[in-house]
Amino acid sequence: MRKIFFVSVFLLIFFFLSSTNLLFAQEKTSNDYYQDLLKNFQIYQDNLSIFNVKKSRHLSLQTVDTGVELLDAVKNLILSEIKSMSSYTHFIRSYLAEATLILNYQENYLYVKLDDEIVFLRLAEERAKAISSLTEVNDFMQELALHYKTISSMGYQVKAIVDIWSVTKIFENLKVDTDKILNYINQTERSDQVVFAAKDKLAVLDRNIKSVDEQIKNIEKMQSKITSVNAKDTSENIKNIKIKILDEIGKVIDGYENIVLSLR
Amino acid sequence: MKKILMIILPIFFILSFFIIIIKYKKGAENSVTVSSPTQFPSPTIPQEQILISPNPVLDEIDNDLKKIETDIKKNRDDQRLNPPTFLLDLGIME
Repeated sequence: MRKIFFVSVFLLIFFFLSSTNLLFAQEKTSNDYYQDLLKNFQIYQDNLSIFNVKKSRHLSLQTVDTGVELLDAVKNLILSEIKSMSSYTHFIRSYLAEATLILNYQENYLYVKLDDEIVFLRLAEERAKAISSLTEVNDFMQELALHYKTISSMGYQVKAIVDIWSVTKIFENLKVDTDKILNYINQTERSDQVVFAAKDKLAVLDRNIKSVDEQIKNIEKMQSKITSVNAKDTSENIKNIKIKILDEIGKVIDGYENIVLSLR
Repeated sequence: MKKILMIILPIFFILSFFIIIIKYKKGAENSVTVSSPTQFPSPTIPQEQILISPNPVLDEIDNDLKKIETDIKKNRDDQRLNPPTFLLDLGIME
């Protein structure tokens, strides 16, 4: 009886501890981080309005009291800004991780860089809390701006990577079907004109496939050359090329469907 | 008192065990779901499928092509990835 008692107590403690891990330690998804970003950005915008009011007041009155009020507003603004930036950084990091699971993206340098920025933002939050005068603010903001430029460029890089790898995955799936059609044509016992016509059509569509292949290589090169200066434009160009590629793949699918229909 | 504890504790343990199992199952259901505006393409199409049809190979190709078409339709620009704009020059030089 005593043994049962001790075993029960042990198991109870064990399950209590493990249950808290199971219930509360689940990793946040990109959607969770995006919701955080929306919430923090709303707070930032509210603080921005307050800052503008306090700034105008201080510029017109130039008193010690207005200076103190402005410093308080500045600190609140910077803290909410850093929190929003942190949510955005976490969001793009988890988004990339989720995409990686599906799209087999292998590189990890972006994760390392994003982790560095997350650490910087965490330290920056502590530094912002310790700001004691308006003169300290400018240097701090310059440093923050520099880091946010890097984070923004990584956001565009993630966008480009997801675009490229999604298209690549679709293209890989298409190539599987190309092989299936080719195998079917080669193995079929039919030798009528329909089979010859199908082969001709397949040869024509092969040009589209090669074109898609080249365009994917092209956007991969573009992505590898993304810098903080050209990130936005390059990401936009990649998106436009992606649309063209998907359009071309759509045409190939129409052609394949036509071949399949004629072979029935 | 000790006897009561010896009876209550095993009952309490069994109950907590079931509660944890139920909660864990619910948590697992929630944690797996990942939805975002950008739908990633479906995993690579299986090479072989057993279909009962006069022409299973052509049916399989047809199905694959439809899946790819669906992936293309789902693939759209996720504006959420665009970085938000912040005021970084506060203009409070003294």
